[in-house]
Amino acid sequence: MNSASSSRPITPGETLAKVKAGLPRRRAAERRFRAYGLAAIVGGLVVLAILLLDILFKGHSAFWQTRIELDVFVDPAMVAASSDERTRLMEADYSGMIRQGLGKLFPEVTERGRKRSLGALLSGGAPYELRDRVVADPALIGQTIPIWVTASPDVDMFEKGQLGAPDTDSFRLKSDQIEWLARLKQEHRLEKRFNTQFFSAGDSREPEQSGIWGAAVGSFFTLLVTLSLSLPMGIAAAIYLEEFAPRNRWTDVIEVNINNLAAVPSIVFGLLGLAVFINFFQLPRSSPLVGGLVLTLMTLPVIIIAGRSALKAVPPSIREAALGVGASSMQTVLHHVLPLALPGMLTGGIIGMARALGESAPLLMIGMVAFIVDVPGSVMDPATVLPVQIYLWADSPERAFVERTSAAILVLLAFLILMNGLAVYLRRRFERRW
Amino acid sequence: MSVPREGHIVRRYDGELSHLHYLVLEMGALALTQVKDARDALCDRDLTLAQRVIAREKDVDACELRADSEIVQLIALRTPVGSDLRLVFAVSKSITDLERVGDEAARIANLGLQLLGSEGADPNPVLLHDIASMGALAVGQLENALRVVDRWDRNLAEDLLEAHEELDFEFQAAFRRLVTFIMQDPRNIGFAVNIVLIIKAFERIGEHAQNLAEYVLYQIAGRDIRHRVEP
Amino acid sequence: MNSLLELKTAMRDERTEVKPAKRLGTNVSFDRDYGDTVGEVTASNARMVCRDVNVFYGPKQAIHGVNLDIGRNEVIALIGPSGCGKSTFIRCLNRMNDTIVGCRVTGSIQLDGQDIYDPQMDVVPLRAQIGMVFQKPNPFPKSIYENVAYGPRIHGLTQNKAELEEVVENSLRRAGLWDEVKDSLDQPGTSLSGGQQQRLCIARTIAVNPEVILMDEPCSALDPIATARIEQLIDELRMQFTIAIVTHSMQQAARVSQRTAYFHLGKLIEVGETAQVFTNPRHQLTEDYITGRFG
Ligand SMILES: Nc1ncnc2c1ncn2[C@@H]1O[C@H](COP(=O)(O)OP(=O)(O)OP(=O)(O)O)[C@@H](O)[C@H]1O
Ligand SMILES: [Mg+2]
Repeated sequence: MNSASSSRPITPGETLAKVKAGLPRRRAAERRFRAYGLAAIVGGLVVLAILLLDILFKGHSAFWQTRIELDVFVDPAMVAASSDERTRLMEADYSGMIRQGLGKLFPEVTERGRKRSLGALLSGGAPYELRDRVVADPALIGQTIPIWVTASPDVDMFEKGQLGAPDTDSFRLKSDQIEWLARLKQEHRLEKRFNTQFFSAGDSREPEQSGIWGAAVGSFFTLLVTLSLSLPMGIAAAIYLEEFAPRNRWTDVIEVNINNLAAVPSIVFGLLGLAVFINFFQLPRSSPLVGGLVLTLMTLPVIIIAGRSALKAVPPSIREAALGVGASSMQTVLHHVLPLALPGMLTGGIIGMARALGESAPLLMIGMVAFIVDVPGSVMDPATVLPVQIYLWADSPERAFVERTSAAILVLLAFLILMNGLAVYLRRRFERRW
Repeated sequence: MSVPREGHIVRRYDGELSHLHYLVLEMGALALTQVKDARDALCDRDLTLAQRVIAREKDVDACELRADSEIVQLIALRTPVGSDLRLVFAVSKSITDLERVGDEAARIANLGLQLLGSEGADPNPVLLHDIASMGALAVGQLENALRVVDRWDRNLAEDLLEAHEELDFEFQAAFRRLVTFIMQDPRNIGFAVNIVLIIKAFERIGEHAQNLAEYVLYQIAGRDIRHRVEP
Repeated sequence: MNSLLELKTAMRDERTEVKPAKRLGTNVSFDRDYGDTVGEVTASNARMVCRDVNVFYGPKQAIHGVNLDIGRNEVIALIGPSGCGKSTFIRCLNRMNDTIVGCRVTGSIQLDGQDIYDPQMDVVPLRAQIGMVFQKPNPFPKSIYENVAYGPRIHGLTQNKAELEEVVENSLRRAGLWDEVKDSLDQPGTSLSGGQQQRLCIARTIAVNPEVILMDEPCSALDPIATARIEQLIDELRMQFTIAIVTHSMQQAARVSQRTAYFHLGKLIEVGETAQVFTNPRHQLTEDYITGRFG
């Protein structure tokens, strides 16, 4: 009780002198600490920038595609004779027309071998591009039309300067091909154009014809399944566990298990999905449905944990206020607690979704790694997803796939940024201060 | 609970309360001196002493003013409750009573001046005898009352209150004696009236002393025992 | 204001008899029926009757055998040092302690003769009947209007919008807040100042028209003016409601209450007329606490 009066008397200025003596040391420590923090951030940013720049540098060229303009005479004689208009159009000899159109540009090339070299300037898909034009507009038959067709990958790489030195193995253009290309360029018949194919096509063995649309749609369906299952289930589970469940051994066990599930390697969920959904329930392999179910298993613990912490963050005084005026537990939760916790829950959900979007390992286990050309039309169709597509392309030997891999990564990153941006927006939009 | 209990968490509060206690005692001592001097002035026919008593009356008044302002301050700043409140209340009442005691002493001195300073012969010494005995009783009671206030002692206070009839009894006796004197010799009537007034003043001093004891008991017991009806 | 006659009739006509202490000085009288509590725990027209109430937080006992009546139209102040269990006790009265995990209440607490801890008892109507104002203002993060309208709405107290608006206005008026907020009813309740928020919480509580109001340190964060307003409100509310108020301010207890109960270490030490408790407490602990000698 007498501590104040019995302690040593304080001489004036003593404290100040001591504080001042220790001040330089304290300041130095503070500066050091700040420097460490800054260094960590700068280091992280540099690495991130290198990574991004590298991907951007490698990938940006994939958004452009070298095209060559031909004047093609759609020869009615070459259109197959068939009663059915559609098969007639579909089965016409478009490669012949393309060949003729190319021949017209280079009339001096007559030798068979050189003609083949000339044909190799164009993509194998060039006839199909012509076909699509004609099918879309049958009136073109009998006319000579100018058409830009896709160049072959080697030409594309050459034009983008990625083919390497002229005498290496990978340099597969002959000298006369290079000459021809120069002539085409002079005549303004060779151009790099925006690569719409990349965004509209499915996978293909031919790099110049492959696109990420199939994978993007697969990802969309997969996430749709994941979202529509995991968000309601996760929020409901979080609310029940946090607000209603009695605290006993069982809820403790459940809580521990949920925390553990969040830490389980994702490939294990793939194995589980393979065993349960495909082998037991006989759901179609490689389908977004199974993929979505597996990812639901994976994101559910994340959403539950995020949801519970969002609920925990709601001040108990709000609950007391509601209970105090006589609201039932459910009214308290629905009217007051949930609206306050929802932004946090949604953020948790979207972060879980973002993680699911980037996940590939568990999907490999359930066969979403298959080579699928068609764009999926429903959750039951076989499909692949963006990260798996990246994995597939990264594995392909063709040089032209390198840039596509990077470009696909860029698209995936863009989606992730979009989703995280959405999370931030939702948080801002619904967050209320109290 | 002999003296007002100390031990407030705010220790300065203890100091302020004991200062109040000290103030009553100081004022009590002053009032007691006044009463004693007034009585001595009468008994020893000391006119200058009587004049001193009258002059000192304003000291008592000043003392009262000082005590009152301290009490008001303490109430405003500390808002006493419980026993503290009763202590402040008891002190405040005591101060008033002591001021009255001072007034009575001055009145006695005044009357003494009239009595002794008049041109005619001295009053009959027998008449003055009653003043001496009444004065002794009143001084004794006041002394006891101050002792009660000093020690804040409940037993002393109860003893003092037991004795409340003594002065009354004495006053009645003296009164009867004076009446006899007046009937014997009507010339004594002037003196006698003065003397009655004087002994009445002593009796009042005794009553104020009784009051002091009552306030102390009130503070200690928490019950108002004034004006009680004895069973 | 109220006429003198009204005030007089509203005051407790039947003053609880102060039992004479056996011996002056010890100031203690024991009443065997009600444990060691000094003073009159019963009230002549009791609204709530608590008998032998014990509260445990897990293994720790926070309230020890409290007996206390709360009378009709009376304000009872609960005072005592921090941690003595005032909040715990007051929260028992509308079963707010149910929300605390591991909190257990034994004994009986009756409202109008009905045990509120009866397993059959539904807490929703109970809490509509016994409103509570908390220590920290806790308006909902909704508009001022919604804050007050919430209770009547969930209980279905009004038939239509106009009626609801009337209830809201009335409650805000009675809480002395109407003039300050009548133009900003759609502003969030959390945008008000601390004192306004507390009055909003009081308006929210009285909007449900409860019969008993429990207040846990309602003025602990308010300035003297806001405090005085709330004290005035309490005084007006007393005509209709039964009020129990926890407060750390002795002056406040003295000003607003008719009876005062002193708690110490989970025990009810003394109950009595407020005037008596503050001039002449009968238990040494009460005396020490109110005069500032505790410790
Ligand atoms: N939720 C709880 N869990 C465990 N113990 C608790 C809990 N709430 C209160 N207690 C304990 O119960 C005792 C009484 O607490 P209570 O909150 O009722 O005190 P109080 O009188 O309201 O204090 P204050 O005046 O500081 O508000 C304290 O010792 C406290 O430690
Ligand atoms: Mg409390």
